[in-house]
Amino acid sequence: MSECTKLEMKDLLPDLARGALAGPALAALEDHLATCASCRAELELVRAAQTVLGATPSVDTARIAAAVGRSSSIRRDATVAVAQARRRRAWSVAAPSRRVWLAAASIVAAVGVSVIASNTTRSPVEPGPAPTVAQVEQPSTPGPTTPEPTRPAAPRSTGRAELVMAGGVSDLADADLESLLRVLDDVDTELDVEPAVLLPVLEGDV
Amino acid sequence: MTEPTRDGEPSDAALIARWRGGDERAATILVERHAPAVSRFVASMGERGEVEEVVQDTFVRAFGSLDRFREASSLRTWLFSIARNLCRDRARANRRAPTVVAIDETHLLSSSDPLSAAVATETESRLRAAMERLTETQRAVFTLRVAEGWSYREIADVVETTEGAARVHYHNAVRLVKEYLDE
Ligand SMILES: [Zn+2]
Repeated sequence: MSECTKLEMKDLLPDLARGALAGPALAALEDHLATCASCRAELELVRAAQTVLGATPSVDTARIAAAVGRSSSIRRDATVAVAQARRRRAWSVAAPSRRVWLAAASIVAAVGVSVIASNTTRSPVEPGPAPTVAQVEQPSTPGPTTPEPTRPAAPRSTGRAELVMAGGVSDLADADLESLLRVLDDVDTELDVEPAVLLPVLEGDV
Repeated sequence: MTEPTRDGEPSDAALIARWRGGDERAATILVERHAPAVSRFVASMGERGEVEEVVQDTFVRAFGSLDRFREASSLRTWLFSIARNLCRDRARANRRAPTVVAIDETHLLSSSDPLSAAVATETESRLRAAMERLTETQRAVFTLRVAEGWSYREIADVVETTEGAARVHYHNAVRLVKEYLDE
């Protein structure tokens, strides 16, 4: 059996085997097959290959779709977190990083109050009759044990850290406040990637 | 191309737009629509027991970078490109020759040829062995043309070549499989 050189006919064999050929193309191929043993043999090969390759493995599409959903929601949260972090960094080069808030949370927890506010873009809470709000400003000069920060000092009007404490300002001892401020000074303020899991802490007042 | 497909189902592009708008159900429909063919392809490319893992990874990656997906191109060629790259990476990592998986040994030749079941199974197993000897590109082209009925144009997009080169790959693959079967 000599090899057929009519590639334009061979090109159509997979379509014929799938029943996807009609009209003049089908008629022409059938005419050719009637006289070409080589193409008839190749058609059998293509059909056999379709059988081998055509079986569909069983896959759990619901599980795959759920994985896609999980992945996309994590990505959306991360996108939101990064966008929010960048907004915060834009208004203050001294904005505390997530480590600040972790440290702040642990320090404040140690003195029995809850931290529910973070650095914000709004004006400091006005001093007034509400006794549960304390404003903590960055010290203008570092304490004796605090190294000089290498970054430029943030303007007072923007680089302000606020602690809103349900237990009142008197519940936070001076020593604890100083510890917190030292932490705030020492940490790296870079904030490029922020895990979504920290959002509840970071965005408590947003 | 946001118009419905012929059978009245929303097009891939319409579903992608819905998914981008927050409709999670649209992703489910797209997975249900394309996962069977992707899984056949992954199995054909030699994945043994981890077909579903690769298919899932394909969809997660595809949806994770939908912003880079061009509306004018076909979602399925894009999915198959990702699946192919994953299969190649895994084959490289495993440092083994890919193997065509026997999905269901009870599948028999569907032609009118009166082969017995035993002969059919023997033919299939020889055919699998022959396809395993093809290059990765030849096998991908052969699979997409024979099993999925794709055009050379679409196949070229998946294997990153020209339409003419895809056609040459296909005819080379057929010739080689015949030669291997004749040995
Ligand atoms: Zn011929």
